[in-house]
This record gives sequence, C-alpha cells and structure tokens, in this order.
Amino acid sequence: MRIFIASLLAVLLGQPLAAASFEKPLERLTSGYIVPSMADFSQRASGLSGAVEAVCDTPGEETRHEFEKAFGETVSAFARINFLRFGPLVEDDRLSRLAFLPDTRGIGLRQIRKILAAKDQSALSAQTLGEKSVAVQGLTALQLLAFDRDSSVKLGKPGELKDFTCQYAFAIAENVAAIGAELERAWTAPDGYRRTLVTVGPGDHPFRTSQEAFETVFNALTTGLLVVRDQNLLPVLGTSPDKAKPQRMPFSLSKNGLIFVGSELDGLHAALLSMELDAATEADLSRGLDTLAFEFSNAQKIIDRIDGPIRESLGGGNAYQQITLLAISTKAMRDIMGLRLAEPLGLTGGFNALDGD
Amino acid sequence: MRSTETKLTAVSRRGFLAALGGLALSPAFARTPLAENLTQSTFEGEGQLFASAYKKTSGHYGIGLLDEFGQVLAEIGLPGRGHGVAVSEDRSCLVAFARRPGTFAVVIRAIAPQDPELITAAPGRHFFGHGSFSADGQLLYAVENDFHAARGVIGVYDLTGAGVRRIGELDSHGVGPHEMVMAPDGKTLVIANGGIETHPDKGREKLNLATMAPSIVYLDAETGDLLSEHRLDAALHQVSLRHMALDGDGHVWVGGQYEGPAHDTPPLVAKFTMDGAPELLEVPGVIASTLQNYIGSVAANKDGSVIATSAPRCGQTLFWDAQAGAFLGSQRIIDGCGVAPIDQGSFLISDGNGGLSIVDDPGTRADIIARSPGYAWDNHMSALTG
Repeated sequence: MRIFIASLLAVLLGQPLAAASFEKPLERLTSGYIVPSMADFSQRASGLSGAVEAVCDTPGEETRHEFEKAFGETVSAFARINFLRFGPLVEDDRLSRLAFLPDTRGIGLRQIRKILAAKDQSALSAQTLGEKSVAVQGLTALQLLAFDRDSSVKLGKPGELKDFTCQYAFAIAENVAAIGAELERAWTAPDGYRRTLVTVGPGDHPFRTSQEAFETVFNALTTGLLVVRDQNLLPVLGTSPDKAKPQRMPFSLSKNGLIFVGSELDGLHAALLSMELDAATEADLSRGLDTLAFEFSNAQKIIDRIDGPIRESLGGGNAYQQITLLAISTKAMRDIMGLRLAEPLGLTGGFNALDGD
Repeated sequence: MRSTETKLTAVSRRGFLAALGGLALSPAFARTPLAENLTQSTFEGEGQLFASAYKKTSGHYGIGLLDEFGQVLAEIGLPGRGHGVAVSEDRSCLVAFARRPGTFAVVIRAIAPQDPELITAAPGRHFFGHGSFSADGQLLYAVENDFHAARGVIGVYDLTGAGVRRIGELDSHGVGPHEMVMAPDGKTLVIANGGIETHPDKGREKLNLATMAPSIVYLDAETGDLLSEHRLDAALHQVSLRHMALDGDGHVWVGGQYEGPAHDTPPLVAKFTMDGAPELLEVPGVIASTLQNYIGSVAANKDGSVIATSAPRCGQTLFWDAQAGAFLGSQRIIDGCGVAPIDQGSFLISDGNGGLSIVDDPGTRADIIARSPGYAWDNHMSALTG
C-alpha cells in the first residue's frame, strides 16, 4: 500500500519513485572505497621508482621481474581509481598526467621519441617533467619507455640511451608517486575533497545539494562502464577477428591489458557496492543491483577464461569471442545503471539528452 | 586558393591561441601535446581547432578550444551555461552564446589579440543560443527573443569598433528563433524559428505547444526583407525546427525536435532551399523509433557531401548523403551531440561524458580519440579552422 501511494504520488508530482538520501552513500563511498583506493594507488606508485632504479642499476631477470611486478601493481591500482573523474583526479590534469588515454594517434610515442632524440633534460626530474605534455609523464609513457614490442622489459638494457632513458623513467616514477601522494592528501585532508563531496552547500560550492554530488559520482561510474566498453574493449575487436587490434587495450604492451580492464570493472563494482544504494532509497533497487552483481561476476569469469596477455591470446583461441562477450556484459551493466537504477534514485539522463535545446 | 586557406588555417590557429593571452602559462594549455610541439618549434601550423561549450564536474561553465587530437588547449570561463559558437568566415573571430534564455555572449578575436569581450543582451531581449557573421565579418547576427512581444528577432552587432555595438535588429518572422546560417551568397540569412514561445518569468517552460508554428525563413541580411518562408504541413506543426547546416550545394539541412506525443515518429530531418518545397527525409523505422524525437545538432563534412545529425537521447549520430538525401547509417556515441567537420570528409563528435570521437565512415564504428577528464561537452561544436 505504501509503495502504491508513493507510486501514485510519483506519477502525480512527476517525481522519482521515492526520495533518496544521498549523504550516507557518499560518505560510505569515500570512506569505504575512494580513500582506501587512493591510498593503495599512492602506496603502489611509491614503489615504482625503486623498481626503476634496481632494473637500471643491476639489470637482470630478477630486477626485471620486480619492475614488471611493481608496474603491474601500479597499473592495477590506477585502474581502480581512474574512473573517479571528478575532484582531485581531474584537477591539475592529474588523470591525463597519470595515463594519457586514449592515445589512438600515438601522440605519446611521438613526443617521447623527440625527448629521447634531443636528450631533453627537462624530462629528467619529476618537477620539470610534471610541467611537460601530459602525454610524456605518466604510466603510459613509462610503459613505452620500459617495455619492448614483444612486451619484455627493455629498461636497463645496454644501449646508447640507457642512462638517459633510465633517468627519464625514474623521473616518471617519481612524478606518478607524487601525483599519487597528492591524490591521497586531497581526499584525506580535513578540508579536502571528501568534505566537499559530503558537505554540500550554496555559494561557490560545486554541489548545492547532495543529489548533485551523488549525480556526479553516479555519472562517473556509468561513464567508467562506458569507457571500459567503448574505449577499452570495442576498439580491440576492430571490424572482424582478422582485423582485431589488441594494442588498443590500455597497458597491453606490458601484458597488463586484461589486468587493467579487470581491475577497472572490479573497482567500479566495489565503488558501487560501497554505497549500499538499496539503503538510500525506499525504491526497490534489489533486482537492478542483483543483475548488476551478476554481470560484474560474469565479466570477471570472462576475463579469467582468456588465456594469457591479450596481445598473444587474441591471435587464436577464444579471446575474440570472450572480449565480444565482455563488451556485451559491460553494455548490460551500463544499461542497468542508466535505465534501472538512475530513475528510482531520482537522477537525470545524459547531459545533452536532458532538457535539450 | 589552397595555399591561402592553409595560411589562414595556420594564422587562425596560432591567432586564437594568442588571443587568449599567455596561454603557455595557462594550466589548460601548458601540458597539452600542442604546447609541447610549440615549445620545440616543430609545429607546422596545419592542425585543426574546434570550440565547444562545456560544463565541468566542478560546476564551472565555459568554452573549450580543442585540437584535432581532442586535447583541450584553452578554456574561456563563462558566467553560465554556453551553447553555440559562431565563427567568422575568415576564421578570425568567434562568438560564444549563452544557452537560451541567456543574457551574455563572449567575443574572441584572433587577429588582434585582446581580452575576450563580454556582451550583454539588450533590454527586453535574450540571446537564444546561436548566431552568425556577415560575409565580411564586420557584423554579427544573434538570434534573440523579444519576450514581451513573443517574437523572434535578429540582433545586429557592429564588430568594427573598439567594442561591440548593437546597431539594430531584424524581425525573424517567427517565434523562438534558434540556429541561423549565412547562405553561400553572403547576403541571405537562413533562420530556424523553432516556434516555441517562452518567457523569462517562466524559465524554459514551453508556452504554446498547441499552437506552435515553426518555420525556416530566408531574410535579406541587409534590409531584413523576408525573401522566403517555409513551414511543414500542419500535421507536423509540433516539429520544432531548430538546428541547421549548409551542404555543398548550399541547401539547408534542418534537424527538428518533436513536441507532440512520444509514440509518434514524425520526420525530424528536412532539406530546404529558398524556393522549393521542403524535402522531408526518412529515418529507417527501427532507428526512428529510438530517436525520442530529438535531433541535437546538424553539421556538414568539409565538402558538404555528407550531413551528420546527432540524436543524443538515443546515443546515435545519423549520417546522410547530402545530394541524394539518402540515409547512410548511424553510429553509437552515448550522449553524443556536438558535431563538426574534421580531416577530409570525417566528423568529430563530442559527448556529455567528455569524449571526442571521429567517424570516418558512416558504416564504421566511431573511434574515441580523447576523453577530457571532468568535462561534459555541451550541445554543439564548431570547427575554427577551414
């Protein structure tokens, strides 16, 4: 009866099914997901410079392996924050500086080649590197410097540019760590973005209401799903199996492509779960949330079924089919978010689709 | 002619950036790939520039200048939500208009660098989101609403002096004018009167849906004389004619937004000429039913042979053979709306999720070339270079 009356009121007033309360989901998201994930990224990133130093000073199987591990862990931790496209991550170009994605036209590689050719000294310290093009100072740049076409670690190997490359890689590692530390501070400081997101207000505040703040977060999550599918998966598929482009999966050069995508999805799901949305509204979100949970679980199983790194596995076996299934699954996730969760939560549609002109 | 065009391209690109003053120091520019190239003096000046209104997750509005890689080179903050950007024929000046009903427009000149100039709507008038330049670039025409009289007007602004000056207005011969283009003859303004009455006391509320009567009118830009007026059949009077682009033959392609029952699927795209009857174009049924009766932007590719019409409510952009009027296909871009010509024959499409995609071929999937973190690109995008 209560639901019926609420529905009737919703129809009469043109309002969402039930007024949702967003302060608590936002608080749970920041405490339960964003702050620990930023801290984890910061911690992983802080280990990169040591791994660069080791592989450059004493190149060998062990140090190369340690570098691969440190790089992979940092990429994975980055994947779990890269969809939080608001506040500290988008301020000061931090997201683009951490990873220049997508880079379909090879801007990063071209600019890195210029730096190497000119032995550009401004690339050799984190401070001056941080002022250079976003395409040459983050994890995507480090990957291009450190990994060979066959995905083996080339950093530290003998060559005319070894010392310069190592110093440049070290500067990138320190720059990434510095940005990681900035992110962690920005979210944990008493007057930091955590407070901005949770304590809304009038005036110059970015969010007048907690609904506006929540909408920003919700849009970031749906955009994150869109990025996984439209930007990280579909380009890989090309127009047919024989025209597949595994190199279009981010971080595939370092064999971290599927790790990146898997961690993105894992992070998106964890962020969503952390909010406990079903407790935020009287509307029944359980079916939508259950279906979403099923799709996230399904997606991880699909990824697990792919043997080996995407650049190797896409040539044969079932990888093409699995990536196709993954694209379908991520579309389903986004549709559930956009069609089955947004409206009961009282959220509006896309920026351009809404109240257009 | 080609070498002149190339020169103009180079001048305008550098000029626009210089016009914004001290860009090398501006955070939005300093770390861009273009800045890197400029500082290394290897930039060849052949790149393309685009402008679009945006909203950031910080809540700020502005106009972003983008390069052909989709990288944001510069930002111009706006006091409120922007909409269309008009570009002069010689590419030396652009004007960003407020979203309707708005009271501001911002003029940015490339050739004589100076601070962007903010102009305010005249008393009793509101800007309605779009505008156009005279062929010689000396005058700016702005679609405006005379809200007391519920009639559309075209504000005429003199750009030749030290400051922009409103020197008169023309009757738009309709209600709720929206987009406007200067015809290839350089003398005729073509105006889409959306037909919807609004009043500032009622915000964006549509006051006359039952009686709305949209039109496409051709005006003598100098005298304001009505040269030609077109309306769709009475049964289609609720198709608000709003956005337009010129094809290679000078025909005007118009995209509409239907205000009638949601289950109807009226034609939303039409081709107009000054003297002929409107040609209504059919979207295949399976797609038509998904459009939610809303076309957001209309643009032609560089040679005007293909027209793109974006439908952000269904996340599709539709493509048309300009000459034959045939539907060529559609590509999925979620919340994609702004469309501008890029490269030789392709389209750059911006979306509300910060994405910039290129469609080279209507039959090939859109390729996302950039995603500007924290930006939602607004309804329209303009090419600043030829």
